[in-house]
Amino acid sequence: MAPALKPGFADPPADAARCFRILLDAMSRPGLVQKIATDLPAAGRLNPASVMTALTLCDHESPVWLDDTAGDEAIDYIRFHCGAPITRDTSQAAFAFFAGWPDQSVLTGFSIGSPDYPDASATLVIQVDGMSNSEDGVALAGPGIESVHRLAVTGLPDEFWTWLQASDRTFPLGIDIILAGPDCLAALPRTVRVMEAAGCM
Amino acid sequence: MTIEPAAARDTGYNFAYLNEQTKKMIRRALLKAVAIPGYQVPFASREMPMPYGWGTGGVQVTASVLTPEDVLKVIDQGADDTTNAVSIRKFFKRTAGVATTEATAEASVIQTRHRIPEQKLTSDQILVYQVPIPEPLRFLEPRETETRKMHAFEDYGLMHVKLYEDISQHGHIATTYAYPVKVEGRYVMDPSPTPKFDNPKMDNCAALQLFGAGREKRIYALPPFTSVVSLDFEDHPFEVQAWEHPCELCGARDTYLDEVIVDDEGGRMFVCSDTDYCASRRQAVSEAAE
Amino acid sequence: MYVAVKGGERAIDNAHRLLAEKRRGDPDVAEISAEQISQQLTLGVDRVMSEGSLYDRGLAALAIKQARGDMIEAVFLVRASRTTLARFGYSEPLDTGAMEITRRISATFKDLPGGQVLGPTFDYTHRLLDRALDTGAEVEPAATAPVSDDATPHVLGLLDKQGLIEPASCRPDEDQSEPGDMTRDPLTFPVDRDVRLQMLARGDEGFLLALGYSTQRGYARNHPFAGEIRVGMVEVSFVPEELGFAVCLGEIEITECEMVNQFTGSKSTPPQFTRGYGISFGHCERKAMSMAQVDRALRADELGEDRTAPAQDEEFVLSHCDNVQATGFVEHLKLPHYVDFQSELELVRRMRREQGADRQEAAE
Repeated sequence: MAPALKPGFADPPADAARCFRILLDAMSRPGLVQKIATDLPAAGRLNPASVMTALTLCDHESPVWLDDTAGDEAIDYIRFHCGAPITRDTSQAAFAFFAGWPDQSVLTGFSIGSPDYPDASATLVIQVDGMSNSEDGVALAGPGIESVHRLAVTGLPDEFWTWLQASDRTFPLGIDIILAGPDCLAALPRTVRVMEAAGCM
Repeated sequence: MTIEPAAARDTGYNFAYLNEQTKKMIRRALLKAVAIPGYQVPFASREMPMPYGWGTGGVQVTASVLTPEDVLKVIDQGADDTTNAVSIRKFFKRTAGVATTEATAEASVIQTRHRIPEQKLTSDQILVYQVPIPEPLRFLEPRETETRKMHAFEDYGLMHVKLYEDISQHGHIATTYAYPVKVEGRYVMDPSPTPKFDNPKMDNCAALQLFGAGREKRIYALPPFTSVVSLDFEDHPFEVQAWEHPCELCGARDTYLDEVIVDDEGGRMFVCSDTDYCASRRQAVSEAAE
Repeated sequence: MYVAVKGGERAIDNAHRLLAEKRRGDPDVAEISAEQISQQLTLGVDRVMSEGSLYDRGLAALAIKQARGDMIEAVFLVRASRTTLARFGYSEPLDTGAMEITRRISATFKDLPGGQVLGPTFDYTHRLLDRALDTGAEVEPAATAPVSDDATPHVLGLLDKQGLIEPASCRPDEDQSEPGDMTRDPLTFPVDRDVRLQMLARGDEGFLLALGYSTQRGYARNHPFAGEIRVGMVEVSFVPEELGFAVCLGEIEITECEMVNQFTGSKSTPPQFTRGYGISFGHCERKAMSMAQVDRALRADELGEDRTAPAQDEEFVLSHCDNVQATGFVEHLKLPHYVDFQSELELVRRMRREQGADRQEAAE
């Protein structure tokens, strides 16, 4: 028998509102680590921050792409609780969930929007082991950051920061990223500038 | 404390009126708006139980960001007691049951029409603007298909020509409100019909600023600490309005003043448009006197 | 001394009480019921349902009562109520060919299969005020022919069989995607015909009437013939996800108008007639006809015609045809604007000072 489906929000209107404010804060203050409510479950390979993001933002109007490791439990969970269509076509995805930093070749398939509609772009949710705003973190600047935010992430290769630094050039087109930890998250919208390249960490 | 505490809401409607599907759609648009500062994100604006043009965009944004723990302030023309501000505040009291206040410092979410509060906003606050015409180029080019191209190509020549024509005709730029700004050196944005006096407050502001245009179906945003520059020319730098007299109620010299006509003979006085700011200054004076 | 105005909340409450009193009118006159409106002001109810985009006679009648007979206010009430309703999905396309006809006329053929059915119409009434109408006199029952069970073919279908008119389709055959929905997706120009028709169907009757009229007076002239106007009941069916087959939900009354328009043909297309399409809930004939004219005018680009007139201008027509949007924005001018006005006042004074206008006036 298939394992019972994990629960979603206990009180959807209030819980979704609170979770959205966490995401809004994260996107408004790039690289600033936000603690999340811990009573959300993991669903298959989706950790609680990924689950929170999906429950808050995804529905039948936002196609979701999951990486190969996600597994049936994650797919069933998103289908049931969000009603979101699951797509295998990266170019169609509004949201993409990764268990970890993927092979970069897969990233080129996601929409970065068009000059007329730069908002028609994907949001990637990438799971990491943990994060903190410690002094040894990568220095980030851009809108939402008063002087500098330093973000140290465990479970992401240096290659990620090099990729992020390079993707800066496409603005206003681009992909927005949510780093999803077990009990925390941080966002890296397309506006974020990596001040120190990888290797300086 | 001047907070009116949270109370039971009308459970005939979902929390904050909008259904969860609608809020998700608006929330996705809000996140993209924050990620592309100054760019107008199209969204599937819903019909609201107040008329288009009366704050439906601001109301939909507020409804999508409000949590049960928020303290809401609503102002119109800087005042909490203008009829439309009262009406919108009442709407959220009824449908969301949230706490409300007139004190800027106590509010976590402030919905506004035509003004930015005089008191400096903090990083714990969100300012939601009601926007009638979100497109800064609309009065120069009525076609959406054309203005969209101009934004895409960062082609703002038309706007500069317009401002320059003002200068050649009047000796200065003749735009006094809804004065266009450039965000992070990229998008030209309409600050909503706030007086240009308020433009400098948008620049590098600690609070998140969200803009909702319901009838025109657009959402845009300024993340905190974002560069917002009022358009101008080197030889004609941007300047804000100044008054010869202080506020006649609180004596402030650095606020935006309303002109009030006091008799039939053309007699008039000038008072702060931000009623909370004015009242708190007067209260501080009277407390000091006691 | 000046004191800032307070008491907005009390003023609003009092205004609402006064509104309720005015709505009721003289209490010695019997109160009108929503049921009476629904039965006796049927065309008003039909218009409110059409432009309110909600087929509910009871709610539309209530809205008319609540709005004191202000139709646009009633449409607005219905729209605001509509947004709070849960959405289960989309119905199957209506089969208007299977309509149970109450009225059906064609201006293009004298007689045709299914016949001309005049139905309840103001046409050919002499517009003389009927004072007897207000005396409570009994209404004589009308003689009616039995309703035929045979499907009534569309007039334009008869032309289509001979290849004289373009096929009925709002999109190219190769486009198999679902029709758009402007209530769910924000409008992006250019707009496909499916979404255009959706917007026109909820558009303001007066606005579409004026635009349709303008096409007859030479602004995008394209001589229309009323190929067919039909009014009657059609079934609405829906495929529930869990059943997987269509079930009938009930019947609604609709008005459909198909205009036949000239088209001279181009290098690639032989001369043939083209179509304009109009539809409404209930019996809204003027609306359906105007809509069909405007639909045809808006197809200028598609048919390779020059866009020269307002009715052909998609952005202009679609951005301004919704009366709920229009009324809100026009009426918002009632809201306080004194902050902006103050800015302008200051500027005008300054410019007058600079020009020395004030001094001059003072000297006169």
